[in-house]
Amino acid sequence: MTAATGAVIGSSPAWNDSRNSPTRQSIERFFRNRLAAIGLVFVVLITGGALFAPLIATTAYDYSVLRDALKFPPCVDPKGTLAFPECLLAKYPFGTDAVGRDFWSRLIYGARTSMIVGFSVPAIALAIGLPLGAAAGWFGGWVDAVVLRLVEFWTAIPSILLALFLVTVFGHNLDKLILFLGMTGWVGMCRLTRAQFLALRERDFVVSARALGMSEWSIMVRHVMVNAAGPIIVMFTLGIPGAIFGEAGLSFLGLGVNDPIPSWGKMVAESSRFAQVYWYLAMIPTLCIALTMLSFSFLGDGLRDALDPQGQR
Amino acid sequence: MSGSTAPLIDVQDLRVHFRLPGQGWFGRGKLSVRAVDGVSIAIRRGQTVGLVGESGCGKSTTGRAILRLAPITGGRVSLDGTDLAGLSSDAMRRARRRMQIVFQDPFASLNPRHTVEQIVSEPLRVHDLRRPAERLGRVRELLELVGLPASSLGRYPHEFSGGQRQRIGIARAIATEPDFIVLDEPVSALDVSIQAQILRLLLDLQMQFGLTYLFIAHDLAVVGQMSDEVCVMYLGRIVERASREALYSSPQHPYTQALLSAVPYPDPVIEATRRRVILTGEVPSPVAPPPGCHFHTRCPIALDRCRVEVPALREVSDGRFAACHLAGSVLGAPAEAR
Amino acid sequence: MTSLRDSAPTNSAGKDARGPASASGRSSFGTGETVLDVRDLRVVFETRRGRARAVDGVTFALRAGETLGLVGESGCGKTVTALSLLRSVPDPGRIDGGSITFDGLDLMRISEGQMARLRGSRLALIPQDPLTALNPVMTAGAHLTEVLGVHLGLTGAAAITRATDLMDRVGIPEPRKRLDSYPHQLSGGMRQRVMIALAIACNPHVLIADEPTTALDATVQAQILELLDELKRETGMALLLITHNLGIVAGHCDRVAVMYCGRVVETAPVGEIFAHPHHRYTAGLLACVPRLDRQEKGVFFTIPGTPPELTALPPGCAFASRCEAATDQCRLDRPDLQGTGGTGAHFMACWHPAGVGEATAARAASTRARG
Ligand SMILES: Nc1ncnc2c1ncn2[C@@H]1O[C@H](COP(=O)(O)OP(=O)(O)OP(=O)(O)O)[C@@H](O)[C@H]1O
Ligand code: SF4
Ligand code: SF4
Ligand SMILES: [Mg+2]
Repeated sequence: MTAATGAVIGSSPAWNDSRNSPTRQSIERFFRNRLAAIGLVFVVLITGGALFAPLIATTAYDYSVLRDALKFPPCVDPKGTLAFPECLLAKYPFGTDAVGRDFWSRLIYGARTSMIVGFSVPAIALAIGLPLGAAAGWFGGWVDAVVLRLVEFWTAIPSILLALFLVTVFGHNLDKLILFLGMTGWVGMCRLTRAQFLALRERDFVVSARALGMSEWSIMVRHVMVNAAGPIIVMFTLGIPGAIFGEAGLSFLGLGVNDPIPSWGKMVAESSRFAQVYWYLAMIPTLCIALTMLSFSFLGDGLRDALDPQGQR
Repeated sequence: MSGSTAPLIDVQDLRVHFRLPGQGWFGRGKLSVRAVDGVSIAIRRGQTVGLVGESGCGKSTTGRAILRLAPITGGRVSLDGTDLAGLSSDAMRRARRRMQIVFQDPFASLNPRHTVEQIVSEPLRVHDLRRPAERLGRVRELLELVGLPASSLGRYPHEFSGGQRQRIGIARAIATEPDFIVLDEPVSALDVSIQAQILRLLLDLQMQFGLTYLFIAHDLAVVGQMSDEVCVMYLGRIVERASREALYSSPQHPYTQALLSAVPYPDPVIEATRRRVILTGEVPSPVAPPPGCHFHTRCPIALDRCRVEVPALREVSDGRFAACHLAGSVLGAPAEAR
Repeated sequence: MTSLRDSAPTNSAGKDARGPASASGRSSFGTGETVLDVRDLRVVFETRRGRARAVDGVTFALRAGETLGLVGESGCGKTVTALSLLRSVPDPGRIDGGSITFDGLDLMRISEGQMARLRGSRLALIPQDPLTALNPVMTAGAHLTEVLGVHLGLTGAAAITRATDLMDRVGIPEPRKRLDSYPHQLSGGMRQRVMIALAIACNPHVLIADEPTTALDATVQAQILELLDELKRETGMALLLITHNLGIVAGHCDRVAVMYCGRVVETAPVGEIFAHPHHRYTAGLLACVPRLDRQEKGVFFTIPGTPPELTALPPGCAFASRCEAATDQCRLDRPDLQGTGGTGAHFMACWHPAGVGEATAARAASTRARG
């Protein structure tokens, strides 16, 4: 029987290593991209800083010593005596703010705020957008029509204005901010999921699973989600810088997180009054915002290239 | 051949009409495509029926609708005498075990993120066949049946060539020990030398397990190598049905004749002397098929009557069916001379 | 006419110089002189998995007025060969050696500007994928007038008139109206006709058609092939017809070159190659093809295995891993094209060619899978 079936399998070199899973290939592709790898390193550093803020910060973020207000960092201090490496070990390595709080500690806790917002907002967008988009793409028909109308309606409202409106009506704190930003961001996630499900629904391997009699639910999980995950992860990652910027912007306008919780956006706003003399107070958080956003963007772009099904073969 | 037994698969007056996505608020269009428009096919156990036609004529939709993988607008499909429409969802699930499908595109029909082991063992898992501990052994057995080495188990589809992927798809399809398999252009995407390997494998499996096939293809020469009976489709309808020998030696419908004469012949001597029937134009859109006989816009012998009256598929002579007003009279002799 | 012989090094032993004979006796065949002479053409692609020799020593000649069929399986280098004739190999690839002589011009030497003037005028290509070859935002007329303007300097009404003529010539009904159609408004067959109109717009000497009918239905395929035959008869251009379909070769070509893994392994007049295939791959391929006149269920001949990776070609004959006649010589030493000594210009690259009797035996040996 097998002789008649007569398959002689050529031995091509690629066959000799068994580690050819699509995931593994994506990882290899990702690390071949220099910028993406750098982005990942920064993201890990910043996230680590945010996670272990209590260990890294020298004081609590709300601990203020009024008589130490607006102290220069030793490196910048015109009357300073400490040279570069030692100055980092000084009491206030980045100086203090207008009410005498350690700027370094506030930066670290600011990272925490940014990361909480950065991850939570796309998470909320995902929680709303993914089920809606999946349902629309999978079931089609009137479900799709309803979701599409909702998406179109939502797209017509400028998201920043909506967030501003919600903030002014319902007041602001960190939780509300996350909720409002997330509510404006689900549309993109919904569109993407819908498009993915719509395309995958017709693929032969999905039809094949159906021919086996698999339930719709397990087809969605085992066959559709695993293939849609890549683009969704990318969109999630690329949603993070937007969320961070949104929070920073609202906080800068005084509509973001409330005192005493630190936020980079708010720190820029508070410091701008003294920018003439204490220029670094505005500049350092601005740099932090920029660096974080850039790192996530590089990471997201790198992920996109690495997960791109076009490069799969 | 067991002529008297009831068919394993009996399709009667099958219709599949797709509504085109429209403009209105809730996306319901007025236009519909009659992809399959009254198709009847009966396949006896252990036989192969070939289904040929040009792209878009509804071959694949017919195959999928038989397996209830396309929405059925009308008609009846029975498996072993049981009407599939009447089955509870649980009974349908069990029936699915007996009917499988192999696809055309070996690159799209396997989940790129699953290993060969996952792909081939999924049917066993879904239908709870064999004890979990024995499944791996069964997967090895299936791979051997289709001629793949056991070292394929942990590999992913992208590591295989088209022909090898098609073998994986076949292993998955026979995993549930089905009675009936729809082969939807299983070799169209493959090279000639690989095509022959896969066709041979399919025939071996048919012999070994008594499988029943619906073999869909656009290549008449390939269909002839595989089928006992052949149905020719044009714009959603079967225009001719006959045994393999009868269809190839004396086609009755003008479309079948043109199709046969359009097949290039790998023999320069024959090609040089062959008279070709070259049709004008292309297959009209199935959204607005011509009235009367769908083929009249391209038929070299169309009459006025053909533009109005739909020809029924009728028995022209013993066991030969053709849907043409003139079949059996003017068309007695085949138009094509070899 | 003897260019190919000269290039085959082992072919010096005074073979009779009879002109190649066509079994099917087509009228326009073999009359002209060589218009395109390709020798030992090599193209490599530098890929991450290594250096892929997509074209690895391709040699053939094309005479005015004849149709040469370039056949082979997917990935054997047919398209890359076609593109390298126009010096437009896609990016990670480059021409690595060999010579191409067209109308007496050495295409490897001429400047890029000269090459650009040749492309689409005297040397035209119908690309493999007609669906993506037309710009979706340009009408058929715009495509045509663009080519006419660039190569012939025709503009305005003159260009429109000529474009209408061309559309008419390739059998498009209502040509004037169809000039305003966008590609998506045309059927597959019509799009392919527009591609042909574009290709013949400047009366090319050589037309390269890369799988011109693969994407089309059988009945439309017959129409397009008929059209190409007709145009060739009228204009006297030479046609390089790339296909994987041996039926098309039998019906529409005067000579054939069979490719395997980037090399031409056998070339001969069409009647000759079908009657007496010498290379083992050609013989196997011919035996594999399903035929309408062998309609017995379950009778098959198969070639086992798959072609080797182009990045890891063996030192000897690339077909050795699938060839039942392979010896150590085949595995170690690569055979070159040489004359068979039989009738006509028949060349093959095989150490143990299938004899005349043997070739028929191979076909008869088609194994039965079913009783
Ligand atoms: N852009 C590219 N990058 C890398 N490799 C390439 C590229 N284009 C072609 N190749 C390689 O060159 C080889 C020959 O390809 P080519 O397209 O010429 O084959 P073909 O004979 O025309 O096949 P088909 O019948 O599928 O059209 C292939 O194996 C392919 O992998
Ligand atoms: S019914 Fe009329 S138009 Fe249709 S195939 Fe027969 S002759 Fe032609
Ligand atoms: S050279 Fe040897 S291996 Fe190659 S085809 Fe001829 S006999 Fe077979
Ligand atoms: Mg090609």
